[in-house]
Amino acid sequence: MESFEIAGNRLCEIDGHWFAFVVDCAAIFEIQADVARPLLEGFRGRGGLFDKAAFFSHLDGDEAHKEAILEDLIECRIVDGQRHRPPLPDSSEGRTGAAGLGEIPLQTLVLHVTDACNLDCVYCYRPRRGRSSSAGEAMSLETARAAVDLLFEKSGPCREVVLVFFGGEPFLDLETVSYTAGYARRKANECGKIVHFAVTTNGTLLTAEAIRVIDEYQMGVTVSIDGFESIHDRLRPFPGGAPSSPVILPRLEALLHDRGLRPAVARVTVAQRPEAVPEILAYLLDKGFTEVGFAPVTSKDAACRLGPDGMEALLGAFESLAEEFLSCARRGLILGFSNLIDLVVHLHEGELKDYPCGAGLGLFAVAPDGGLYLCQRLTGEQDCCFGDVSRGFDNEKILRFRTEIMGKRRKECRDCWVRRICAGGCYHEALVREGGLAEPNRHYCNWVKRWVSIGLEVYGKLAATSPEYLDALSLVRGHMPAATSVV
Amino acid sequence: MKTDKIKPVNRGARMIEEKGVFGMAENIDVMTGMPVGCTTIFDTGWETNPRPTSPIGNCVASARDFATCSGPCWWPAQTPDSITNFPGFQNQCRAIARDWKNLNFVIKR
Repeated sequence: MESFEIAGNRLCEIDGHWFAFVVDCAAIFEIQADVARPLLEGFRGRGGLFDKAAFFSHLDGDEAHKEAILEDLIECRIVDGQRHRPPLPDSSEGRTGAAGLGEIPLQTLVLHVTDACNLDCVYCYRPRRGRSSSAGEAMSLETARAAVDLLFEKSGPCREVVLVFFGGEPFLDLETVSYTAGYARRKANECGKIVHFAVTTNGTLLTAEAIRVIDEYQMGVTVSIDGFESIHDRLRPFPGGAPSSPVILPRLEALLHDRGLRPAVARVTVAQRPEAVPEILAYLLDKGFTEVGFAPVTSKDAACRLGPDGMEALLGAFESLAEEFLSCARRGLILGFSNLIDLVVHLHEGELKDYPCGAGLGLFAVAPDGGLYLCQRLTGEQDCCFGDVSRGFDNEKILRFRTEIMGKRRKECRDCWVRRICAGGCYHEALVREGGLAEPNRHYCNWVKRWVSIGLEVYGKLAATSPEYLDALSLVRGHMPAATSVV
Repeated sequence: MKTDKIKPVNRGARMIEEKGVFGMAENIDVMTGMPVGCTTIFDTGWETNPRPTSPIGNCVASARDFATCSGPCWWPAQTPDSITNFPGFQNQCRAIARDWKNLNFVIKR
């Protein structure tokens, strides 16, 4: 793919097809080559500003035809008609401009059922690690009920809410998980809403009883697993160093055997051997996971994380998986590589982000003691505490947080073409690597731009050859199909 | 759209295509370069810096100035005449505080 900057937007040539990516609208248009090439000429001189004369001189046809094409380009905002344009259709309305908005409805709560965990993963960001649940570390049933009540109370017009069971290791307290899910379901029936459940687990305690609870409440399961034994056991041992794979693998068999319509996904933290990522994907898909998502480890310690070479290798691995994804797509199959599916769907839906994620907007985490935090990674950080389940949210503090994020990131990321996709990246990563939540993740700016370019290339190839595949992919992620794609 | 050279591919693009151009009349040409010529007079700041002769201070609120003080008043050359030649010009700017960025130059051919 060849990619060019056109006054802040991107023009890409992918397999002979030309696409324009209009950054502030997250709009992707295909442009015929006999217009795209002249368009590129129109942006070549004049310090990157559009030169109508240059554009026209490379176009075929009479004046009227050329003017009509230019009008179309302006209407599509591919060319900025000097502020000659109608108000933007802004799909992010209702989620942005925090300072000007009222309360955003609460949609998801991540419950730290317990702080205790039976593993001793080397990169864990949880400050307290223990062998088993103890009084001070586990969430009481009363707190769990209060959290569920708060979720429904603050969900506003949302018909569907999400409850995520997290930890530590949530299955150390299976009774609390089961009780809370039951309570939430009854509450949902009372309110006329639907509650979806999810659980993130290390896999060691996926007993028959746990699987029964998962199935009863149709919980989406995420298993944190780092790949085949040689990698996984070095990163995720039991306290004392014993390998966890021998315990996890048989449990996985039980969970993933005949999963049918109840998908389970794997979440891999990449801390070593990033070049092995494609092999790890194949290994985990083979085990029965529907999808696998990868994330490089977040760590203050340079020795514990992927350095520049590691990140480069990771991008190379992702690129080769993108090729494999396309080859599966040509056969009508979806390769369960979450990172790419997320990105392609994001591009297809034209999502415009002003914030990197839902944390602090519609998503919060609840600590065992009932404290409300920005997200599960930041539970325990005083700056990220926004109230508690009994007394409710500290709305002013939340508003200050949202305003600060907008202010800092928007300003610094103002000229970046992936700003409405990246929005500065993970808050936790920013706190650890850049020294502040509101800071954009400068250390991976280039990486993200290159990854989005890979995503755009995959997108362009699919858009050119099989656009209905993109609609199918969006459906997988729960988006409604566009009217034009049906029939 | 006027030609078939550009096709919306994703949802964001379809939204733009569907909303269309808001309120612009067909006969208005668009300049995409910087304007030149003697009709570009910007006397910014006068409204906040009262002069010793009439009008001292503002006749109307600043936001109303562009539309109201044209014609026989301050901006006879700068605002397109919305009676004869560009009747639709003000459509792009129904609420000036919100839409002022839509105001643009016109060429009558």
